[in-house]
Amino acid sequence: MSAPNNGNRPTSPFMFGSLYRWQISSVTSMMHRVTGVAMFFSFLMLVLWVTSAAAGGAYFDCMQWLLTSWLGKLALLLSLWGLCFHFLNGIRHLIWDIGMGFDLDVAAKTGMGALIGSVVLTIIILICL
Amino acid sequence: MSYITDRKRAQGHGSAKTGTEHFIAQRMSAVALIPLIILFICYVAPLIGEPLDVVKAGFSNFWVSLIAAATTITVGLHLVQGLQVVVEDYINHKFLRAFGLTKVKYGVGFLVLATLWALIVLALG
Repeated sequence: MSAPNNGNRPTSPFMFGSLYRWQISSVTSMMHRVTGVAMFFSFLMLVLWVTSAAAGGAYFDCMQWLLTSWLGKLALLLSLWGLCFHFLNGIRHLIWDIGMGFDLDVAAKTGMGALIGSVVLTIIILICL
Repeated sequence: MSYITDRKRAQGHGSAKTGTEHFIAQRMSAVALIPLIILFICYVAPLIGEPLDVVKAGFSNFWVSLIAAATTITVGLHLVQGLQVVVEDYINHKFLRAFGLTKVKYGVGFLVLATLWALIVLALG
């Protein structure tokens, strides 16, 4: 019988450092999580904006000042890029979920596609809006 | 420290005794978000940073506020499920883990509720 390990296991990402070789699939996987959690803060920012528009007054002026400041613009730009990446990589995940695209070379290509595509998509949206 | 054996701890909890509905629901909200995010970027996002009268005029349009409401609800569902997985994977502190797994949904739910209420006020105003 193996040595007992009563729930005292290492927590991800304990492998990073000397134990792990970086590759496109792990980078996109981690970015998917990071952008997903970051979207919570983007969501919070837009909730504050919509509620401020409904409430009006100083609350809206404050949100308007924040969102049009350089910090707000940077936050919106990063949110847009994060959303574009999560959107494209999410479609990649959905394709995996129907059992397609698992070959290593295909997965690497779609991963690069999501990375580059997210930047391209962000620029296109910025030009069109 | 628990005195239960490895086998006893694992028994009955094998492959997919629970979690299938979480997996499916998250994919359903993901698929729904594909058209919703496109519509949101096209019709709601341009209002961000605009003066109050422009924002109000924008949200007084039925379709714009409908897209905003549908996106908010679906993002809220997707967010709660995504954050649950992140808490499960990275938060080991007993209290924080319990808090994350049980209370995050109320926090996100409140944000969704506040947004829907704001959209109603904007639509009526």
